[in-house]
Amino acid sequence: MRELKDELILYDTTMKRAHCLNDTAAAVWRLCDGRRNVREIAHVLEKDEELVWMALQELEDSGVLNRDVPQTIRSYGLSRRELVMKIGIGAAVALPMVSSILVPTASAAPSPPTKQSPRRVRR
Amino acid sequence: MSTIEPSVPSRSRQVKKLDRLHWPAIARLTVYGVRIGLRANALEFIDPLLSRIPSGFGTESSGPIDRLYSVIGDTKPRADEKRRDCNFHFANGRRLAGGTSWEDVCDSFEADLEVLVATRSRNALFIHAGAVSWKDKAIVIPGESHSGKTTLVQAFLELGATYYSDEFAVLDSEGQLHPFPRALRVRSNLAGKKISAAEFGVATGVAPAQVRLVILTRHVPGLRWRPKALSQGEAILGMIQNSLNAQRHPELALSALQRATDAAHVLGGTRGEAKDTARWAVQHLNR
Repeated sequence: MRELKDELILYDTTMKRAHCLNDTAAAVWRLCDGRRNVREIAHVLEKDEELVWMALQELEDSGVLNRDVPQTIRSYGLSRRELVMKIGIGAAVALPMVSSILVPTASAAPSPPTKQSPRRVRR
Repeated sequence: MSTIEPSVPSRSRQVKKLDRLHWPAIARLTVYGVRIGLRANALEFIDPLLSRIPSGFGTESSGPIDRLYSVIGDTKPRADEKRRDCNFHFANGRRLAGGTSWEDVCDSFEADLEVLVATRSRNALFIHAGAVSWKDKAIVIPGESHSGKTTLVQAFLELGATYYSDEFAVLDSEGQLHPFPRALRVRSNLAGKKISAAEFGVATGVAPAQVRLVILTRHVPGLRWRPKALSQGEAILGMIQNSLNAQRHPELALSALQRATDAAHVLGGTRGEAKDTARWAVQHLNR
C-alpha cells in the first residue's frame, strides 16, 4: 500500500493487480473494517449514503474488498448520472473512482530472437 | 581475469558438455544486481562482449550466478570465403546463435542480456520506456514496442537532450533514473537501422537524474498534441503496466515509482508528430 497526496495505491500480491483509489474511494476503503455499516461510514465522512454505496460498488468491482457487498448502488435504481444530479454537480469531483491494472509478468517481455545459420539440405 | 569457473545453480547436461571444452577467458559480473558468468574460447572474444553491456557493471568474486554465457569464436583464418562462420553462443547450455557471424553472436548476447537484466534485476525497476534528460530533468516516455518511443526520443535528441535510453527507463529505489544507453533502433525501414547517440551529436547520460516529466501517450498520425494532466496514481499504474520486473519485486516497484513521480508532471492523451510533442515538453520544462 502506498499513500499518495490525494490517492491510495494498493498492490494485490495474490491476484497480481495494482489499484489506484481516489480520495473518496480511499476514505471509504479505510473505514471498511467489518464493523461499521454504511450509515456510520457516511456519518464519519460527512457524505451522502448513496456516495458511500457507490464507493463500495467500485471497490467490490475492483476486487479490493474481501467480502461481497450485500447491497449496491444499483439496488437503489440510481445511475452514476442520477447520483451526480442528486448530490450536486459541484460534488461530482468527489465521486469515488478505482482504476485497476494487471501487473505484467516477466514473460510479457520480448524474447530475443535466436540466430542460427540455415541448415544444409543433403541430397 | 578470474580463473575460477563460474557456477550455475543447476548444471544441465548441455552445460556439462560445454564444461569439457577449454575456456581460457572467464569473467564474473553483476549488472543491476543480476549475476552473470561469461566464458570464451579465446581472450580476444571477451572485450567485444563486455563492450556490449549498455551500462556499468561490477565484478563478482564468488557465489552462484543467474546465467552462464559460453561463447565460441571462430579462431581459424578465413582462407576460404565459402566456409561457414563458426561462431556459437550459448546461455546456460541453450544455443542462442550458431554458425553465424561474430557480429550476430554479439547481437544475440546483447539482446539476451538486456532481457535477462530487465526481468531479473533485484535493485532497479525496469520499464519499457524511452528516457532522456533536459537540463538535468529526466523525461520518461513509457510505452510498449512500436508505440513511438524511439521516434520521440530521437525528436528530443535533435533538440539537444541527453540520451539515457530508447528501450528501458531504469529507476533505483530512490526513484532516480539511470542511463541504459544502446544504439537507437530507428525503424525507418524493415531492417531497423541502428544509430548511436554520438551520431546525433548529443551526450549520453552518465549520472542518475530526477524524473520531472512522464509522457504517457500513444501516437496517432495526423493528430495534434493535446496533453492532459494525469494524477500521480495514474502515472504509477501506467508505469507498472509497462514494467518488466514489478511483479517479481513489488516493494521495489512501488518505492521507486512513488519517489520518481513525487515531483514529476504527468501528461497523457494522444499525440501527433514527435517533433511537436518534444518541442512542447522542452518549453514546459524551461518555465
